[in-house]
Amino acid sequence: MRMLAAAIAVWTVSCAHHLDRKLGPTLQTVDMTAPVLQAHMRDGSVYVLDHWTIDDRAQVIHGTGQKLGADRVPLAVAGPLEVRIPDVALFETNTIATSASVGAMAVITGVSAVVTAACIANPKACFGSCPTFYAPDDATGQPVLQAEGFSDAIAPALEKHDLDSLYRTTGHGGPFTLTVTNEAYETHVIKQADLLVVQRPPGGRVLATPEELWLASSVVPPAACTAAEGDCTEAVRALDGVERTSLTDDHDLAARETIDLRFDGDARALAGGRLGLAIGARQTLVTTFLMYQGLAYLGTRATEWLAKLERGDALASAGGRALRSLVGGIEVQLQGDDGAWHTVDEIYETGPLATDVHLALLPEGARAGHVRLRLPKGGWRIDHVALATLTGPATPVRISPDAIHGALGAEYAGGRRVATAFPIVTLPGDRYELHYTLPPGDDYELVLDSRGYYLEWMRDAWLREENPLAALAMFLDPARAMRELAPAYKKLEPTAEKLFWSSRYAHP
Amino acid sequence: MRTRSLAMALVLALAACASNPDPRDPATFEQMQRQAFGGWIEIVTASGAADTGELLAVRHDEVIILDAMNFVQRFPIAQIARARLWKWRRDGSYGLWGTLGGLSTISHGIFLVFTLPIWIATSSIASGVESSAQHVDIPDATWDELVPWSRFPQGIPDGVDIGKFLGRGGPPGAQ
Repeated sequence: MRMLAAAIAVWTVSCAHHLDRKLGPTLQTVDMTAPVLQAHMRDGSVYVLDHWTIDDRAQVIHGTGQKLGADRVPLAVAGPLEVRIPDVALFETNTIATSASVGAMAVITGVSAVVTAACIANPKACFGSCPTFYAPDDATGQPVLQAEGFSDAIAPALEKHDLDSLYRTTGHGGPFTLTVTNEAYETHVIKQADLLVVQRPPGGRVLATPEELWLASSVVPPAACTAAEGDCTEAVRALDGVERTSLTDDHDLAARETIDLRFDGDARALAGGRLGLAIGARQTLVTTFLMYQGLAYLGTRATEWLAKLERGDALASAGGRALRSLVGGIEVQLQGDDGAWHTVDEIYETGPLATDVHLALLPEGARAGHVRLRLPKGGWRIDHVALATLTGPATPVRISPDAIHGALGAEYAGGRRVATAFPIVTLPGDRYELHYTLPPGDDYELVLDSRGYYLEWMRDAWLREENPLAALAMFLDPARAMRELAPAYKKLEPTAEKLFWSSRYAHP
Repeated sequence: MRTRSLAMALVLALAACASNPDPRDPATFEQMQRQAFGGWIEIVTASGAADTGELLAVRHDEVIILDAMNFVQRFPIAQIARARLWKWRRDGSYGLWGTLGGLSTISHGIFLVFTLPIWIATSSIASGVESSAQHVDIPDATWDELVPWSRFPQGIPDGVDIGKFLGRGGPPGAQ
């Protein structure tokens, strides 16, 4: 990498010049500082002079060089020359200038070098995925990232299924293609990728909890959204990539913040159904950072720890659960008669890339004029919130792919075959297209039901941070770890966030 | 696959830039400060005839070149459909820079998905700008803009028998 950077630097200073040619009948019209002067004579000959000086009084130019004939054959041996200014038809200078494009390239080189340096210094900020699923966006028809499959399942023992709403896609009867990729240093084992297909209610949507789908006759954004920074109504009004987020606490990654939502009227009274809160959100990089920091602390013992997880070791399991709890989801709170705010449901989905729309169920009979969200400070990016009037559970049609076509990433393709059926095991760079046939009809809600697990690849940089005691402390006292790691993440946070915000890649 | 496609896009974009077809010995920018030949011009007439050579002079009604066979050719301006005058030969392209920069994004992990496209866009645009900077095109430009790049920007002086240039319009290195 250093050699690459050096090569770029060398190239930076050694290329892309322009020739700035100035031509005119007087010396004032050319570049008086140019090292070489050409004097075009009326007879077609030309003087080419180095080290030229002007004798104004004598109206003569002195220099060393050659006089060339009209056919550009030298008329004499090179040496000191004197040219009478009145005899010159045109003066010419050529100045070598560095191309302005070098500036633009230098800027991107600098930015890229900063990213490279940051990633070398903090690999935990630069890698991380899980299977990423792309589905065509209604607005553009182009595939956009809409789901990260089973992102909590970092070991075979943690294999799970995961419902992800493909909220930006409307299904129609006929062929449908989903693309799944492996874009990280991970091994993905995908055992299932079914589509749950439900006809949308007129004017409504179908929303997903972690285990079931609900029909919503209406989905209404809040009339007002207020957080610590002020008004956030516009940010959460629609699933449009404009997100509300915040920075982590200086001293504790587990510190919480609240967001207050006000909804006009009472949707339940209008529609007569149960209420739910649809939340379109994705995590910031905090979870990725913590997970990779944990693996870095474990270092060469990471596999031992994963094996403990496999065996159901209490400490490993409890530590993982405690960390997960501290990282925290988005709690939905309603105000009780006592004036206190009570959590009635919580949504959680690991992953900093895909915005997933989750349904939080409000208790039967709950009124929802005022709803509060409680979440880890700097832990989530919320794109959309809406109050949903639910008319009942949905009964989806489950559809499995009827064809699987894939391509292996070149770097790790050796000795492997493209899978044509589940389980699909992918390595970095692999890409598969899953082909489905949707039933005849229109206006379908599509929800991905994926199942599997994945394995992080250890990286050399992590092994340098091996610290079994710190790892043990992280699992024994996660709350303390969240406090102790806060400054480290804080240092990383501005760069990581800026890079994510500057990209549309991860914006569904 | 996405990365490979982007890398291929980078290579194709950078390879798409035109290069100077001047067959004469290539002059460095330092040599060009001292050489006194005209730039290399490609001419296509309205009838489809094409010729290339050193631009000797641009007159109000005709363009005179010393063609690749060292014959002087005159083209009435009214009959020229298009022309391209090559001012210099790039002393480097952004291809290697862009390629190395693109490769460096391998170290960016997941951020590669946007740093690589930035590299592709920037180096492609820079390459395009550099490529177009080395030539002047007719009819996009006026013939007056080609005059400074002719051997005789002052016009062909009376008494100069350009016919004698036959066989003498050698490469810049001959001077």
